[in-house]
Amino acid sequence: MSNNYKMKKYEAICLILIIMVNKLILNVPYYIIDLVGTGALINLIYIGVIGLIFVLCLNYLFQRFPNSDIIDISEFLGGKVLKVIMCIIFVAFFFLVSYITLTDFANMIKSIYFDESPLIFIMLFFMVGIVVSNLVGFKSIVRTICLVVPFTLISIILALFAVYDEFALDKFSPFFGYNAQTTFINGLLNIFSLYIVTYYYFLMPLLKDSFTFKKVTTISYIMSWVLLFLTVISILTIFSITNDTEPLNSLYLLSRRIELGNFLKSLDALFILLWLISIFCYLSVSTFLINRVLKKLTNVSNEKMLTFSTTSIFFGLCLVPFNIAISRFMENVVYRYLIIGLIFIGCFMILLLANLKFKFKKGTYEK
Amino acid sequence: MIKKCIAFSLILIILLFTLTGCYDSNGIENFYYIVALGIDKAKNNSISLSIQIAKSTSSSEASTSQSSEYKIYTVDCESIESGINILNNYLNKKINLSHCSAIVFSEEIAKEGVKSYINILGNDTEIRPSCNLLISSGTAYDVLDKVSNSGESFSSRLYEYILHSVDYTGYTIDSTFAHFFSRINTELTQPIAIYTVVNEDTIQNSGAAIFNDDIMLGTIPPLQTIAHLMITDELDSCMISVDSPFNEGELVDLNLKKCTAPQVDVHLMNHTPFITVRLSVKGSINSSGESFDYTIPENIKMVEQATNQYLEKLIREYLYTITKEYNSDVVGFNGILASKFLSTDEFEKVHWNEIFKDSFFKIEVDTKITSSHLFNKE
Amino acid sequence: MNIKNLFQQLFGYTEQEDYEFILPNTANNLPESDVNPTAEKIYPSLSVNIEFLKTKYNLLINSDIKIRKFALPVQDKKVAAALLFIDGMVDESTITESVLQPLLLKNSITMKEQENANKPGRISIKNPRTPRINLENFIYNGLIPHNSISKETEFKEVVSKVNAGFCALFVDTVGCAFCVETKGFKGRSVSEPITESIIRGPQEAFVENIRINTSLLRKIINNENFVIEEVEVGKVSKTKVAICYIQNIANDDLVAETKYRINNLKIDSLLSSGQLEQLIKDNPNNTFPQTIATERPDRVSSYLLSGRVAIIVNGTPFVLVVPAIFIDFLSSAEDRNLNYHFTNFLKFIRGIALFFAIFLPGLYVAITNYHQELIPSELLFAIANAREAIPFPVIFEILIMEVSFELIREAGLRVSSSFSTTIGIIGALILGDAAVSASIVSPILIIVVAFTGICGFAIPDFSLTSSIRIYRFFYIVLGFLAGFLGIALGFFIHFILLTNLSSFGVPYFAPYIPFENLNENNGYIMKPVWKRQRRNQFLNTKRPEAANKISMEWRKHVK
Repeated sequence: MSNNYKMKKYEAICLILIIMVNKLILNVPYYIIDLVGTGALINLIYIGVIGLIFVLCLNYLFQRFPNSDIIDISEFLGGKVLKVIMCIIFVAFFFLVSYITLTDFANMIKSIYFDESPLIFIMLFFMVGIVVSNLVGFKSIVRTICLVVPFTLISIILALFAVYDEFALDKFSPFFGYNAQTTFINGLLNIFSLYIVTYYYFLMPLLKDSFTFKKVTTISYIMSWVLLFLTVISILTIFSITNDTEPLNSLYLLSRRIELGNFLKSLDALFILLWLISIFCYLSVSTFLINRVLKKLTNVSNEKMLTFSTTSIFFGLCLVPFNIAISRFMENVVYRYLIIGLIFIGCFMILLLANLKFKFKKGTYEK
Repeated sequence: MIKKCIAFSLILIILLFTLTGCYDSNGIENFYYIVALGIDKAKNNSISLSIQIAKSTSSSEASTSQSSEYKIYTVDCESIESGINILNNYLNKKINLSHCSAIVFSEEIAKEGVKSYINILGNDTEIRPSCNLLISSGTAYDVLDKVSNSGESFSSRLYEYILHSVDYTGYTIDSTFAHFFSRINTELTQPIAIYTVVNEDTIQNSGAAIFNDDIMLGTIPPLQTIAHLMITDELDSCMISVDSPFNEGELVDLNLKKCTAPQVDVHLMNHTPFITVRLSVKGSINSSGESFDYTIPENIKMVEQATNQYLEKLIREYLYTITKEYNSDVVGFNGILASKFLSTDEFEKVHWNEIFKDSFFKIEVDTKITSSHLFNKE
Repeated sequence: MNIKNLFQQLFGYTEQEDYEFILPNTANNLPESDVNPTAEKIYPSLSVNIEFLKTKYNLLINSDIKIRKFALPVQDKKVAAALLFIDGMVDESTITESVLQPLLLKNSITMKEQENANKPGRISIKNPRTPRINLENFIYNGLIPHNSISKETEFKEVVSKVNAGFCALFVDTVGCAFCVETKGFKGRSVSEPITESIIRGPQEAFVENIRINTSLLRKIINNENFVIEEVEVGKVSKTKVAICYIQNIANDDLVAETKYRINNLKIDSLLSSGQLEQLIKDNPNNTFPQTIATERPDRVSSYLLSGRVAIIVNGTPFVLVVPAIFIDFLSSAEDRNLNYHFTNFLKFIRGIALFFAIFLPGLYVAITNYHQELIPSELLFAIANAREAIPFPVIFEILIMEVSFELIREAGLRVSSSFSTTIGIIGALILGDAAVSASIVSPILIIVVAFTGICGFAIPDFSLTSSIRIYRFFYIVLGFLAGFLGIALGFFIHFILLTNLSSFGVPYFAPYIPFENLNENNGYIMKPVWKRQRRNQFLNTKRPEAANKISMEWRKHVK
């Protein structure tokens, strides 16, 4: 039963990293900079520390619930009703997140390479990938991610090297951005960029040894933060903040700067190739999680059979007309507040209350 | 099983032929690859767009030579996009900008402002960020034409050499499209581009065109570009000729290399920028006059002092040109000043554009003559 | 099949049925004494000796170890005796003529003569206690007319000689064994390997006869723990299949799983190891090879010594080795004999070859159709020049060339060697030269196809090469459909399918995916020979230590 595959420590870290990488490719770094300007560096350190404290809290709170995810915990806390509510919320959430990612990326490559192809044609490729990977099973997805992650990381680090020449400290100044209030109070909204926390709520039952949870979350959090930080640094280096133009898909624009000598000049297509594979991985994981939540909701034993239905719904969703305005609204507003509201506040409260309940009714929780 | 297979392959084939048109599949032979793009002013508010394309020689007899013929087409149009469209129609092949290695503007059009053209090209994913940006003293067409007839088999390479020659001559600057594009949209640094002088039958890159925002203000001569490159730390090596301190009218040729990164600092003194530039260069003597014996340490010291004076004068001239004459911060002193502030709001109270022209300077050059390239004593 | 069924299949619910075997970890380093037991003297009692040998040689399961029991007539008594030898390693006629015959026939004749001689005087009646002859000397001096015979008193010596092709004679009441040299083979002579030729290493190959093959292995491994079990597969053909492993190294569950799979094949006939391979592999639908098929005894023995299991099918000179991981198909038998720097360099080269053999045509199609900006300008103009007069689109051109390349290859393989030069000339002239000058294909494409072909030949394993040939076409089509998007989809699905593979419980990309205990594995990078102290961890062998921590002990004495 390859869908009951349990991940080892480094596999889980790779899984989290590939999720992070996908958002870096798209616009997340740009939205951070957009909000706080040159204060992005200090803002990132600030939200990084807050996020780390949050992750450590999660570790502590999850100690009482080995082998259970947020759905199980909400069942423990509020019975069937809360469980069903949480399931529906999370299915919708994952659908929305994958929809944003896919449409954004598909539109990006459409504008670069596939000007004349209909969007449905590009989407179909992704759908085929999702269906195959989910039918084969979670084990393969995880292992493929392990194969892909090193190359993706290399690609991003290479992109950072491209700006090495132009690196100068005065590109990051004034150091506190527009003013202290934007950087530290409004800038708190930037915590949405550490949305990988979402996946920590579902990580526990997928791990082979539940005691590795602490290590996995902490290490993957720090690595993702470093990646985000480096990306933001390089984007700040290349694109001046007071720019009138907005460098959407900034990492792609960055990759276009990479040249190997005088001979190989535009290597961006190779980067796109690597990022495409990582998008495939990410969408597969998302679909797997949707299936997993649906499995909890419906009590089917073989969640692989849900793949076709899930993908069909997803495909239908992706055909919703899309333009850059929707994308901006989705990513910058809906996504931002949804992550903060649902993940950083909602789920955390559930976890906290469940811990309190556990304390008062000792030993009633069994899994 | 067999039924299933047949049904599955049928579905696949139907999907393949109906849904997938291989819409964007275009073979290499379907394109004309532009080597250079020239934009000139035409009558009635329109522009004249010239393109230089590599046209394949028809290889009827399996030819081994890979030389391409370069042809230039010109069209009058409203904008670059429409010009390319007209050319597409005229050439019956699609024009592809992905191998374009130079974009040439005429001085006339540059003085009117290039922002609209640059922004159109900047959003084109086909244009490479490393593509060169040239300002022609005559028309852009002339530049393309002269390059085509230069006899170089790969014109695209000729454009690329421009960037490399900067590294050892310093007579022009390194201006790529990406730099220009980002500078045109920011206030921290003003754009600067390669200035190409069109002669009778050749072209020559000499000096640089200074912009303010998107309007070309004028040029700086080749020697001042050395000063520019030194301050911005882009110079690898260059040749200068210093007046010999020993004998009037004689020159000492020096090969200069940078020693450490230049230290450039900007302060505000009574709302006036005070710019400090500290350079340290190392040089080697290439040739000397008759009266100069470079084996004597005192003589070396004198040459060093002469070089210091020469460079200080050069840099001062350059800085006066960009501040007093053009009032355009092409070095990026504004950005250096920004690091003195903690927040953007504070920084924006300094109106750089108004005060830049009043800036005053302190220039220190420290030259070290390390060795000579000479084998004879004199 | 109607639409309703299709929908039922896509969206309906079915229970999942998977067979998944995972190799459990039973690794516990056996004590040294178990491998090299302390010297034991041969007992005077035959039955004890036989019991000892039975356990030592795992006689119940080992198929080619033979013990011939007989009664040796000495004087008027019959003394029980037994002959131990390994089938396939001994010359049967030598055993019959110079060991068994003299012992059984001549012995009885001499005894009868003695009896007859004794009869007239009836001494035997008068003196019933005839002087006891020394049986040991009697046999050694007089009974075995063979040039090479030795007396051994320790089991260790006996076992090593029997492993080398001697036969050992045990006689009741005698505290020693007689080792007679009876080495010999029969059947087709062993020839050089055809498919896996190497420069530095033994030039021996397996043959069709299973017995010769087992003896080839025994010759190299030379250990009594080496077990060769025999089973019959096929209800009609009853083909002999030998399962070989080293008992105190190989994982028990691995051996059990192999036997379980082979024993549970309900087929009428089994003709070759290729057939068997498809019947026992974990994912039969994946074209990537999941068992190693080799015709080199040295390669098989090195795998056996590292804890794997070999399967020999009677009638096939190719021996299967399980489990197999991906890197095995990129390593050649020569690797262990070469300097490790060179080995790693070769592995790297083969990796590049594999990459280009799969992807190059697909990438070429994708790049020329979608991503022209990736090609350096001058090269692009050269390609455009070359393609100017070609009437076909790239996809058609490359399909023509690939198909004709496959045709040449197939034709060259099928005809006798005298024709193959003709085919080479036709192929080179027609496809290489004429097609270019007739402007049917562009020269650059010939380079692409030829390079791909060369890369395909650089891969050491035949089955890997053949599976790659199929994937190449998939990538061409995908690259044509959507450029790098298609290629990325292909990559992704390919990875998904490959990482799903496991060969007898070992993940296909072990030890790197899953990434564990890298220090204990000899993985994609070959360590120097003195650092290969541990057997591969993913095999979960009983003896993880393959060598002492410092294998080059002589270095310690250097001052």
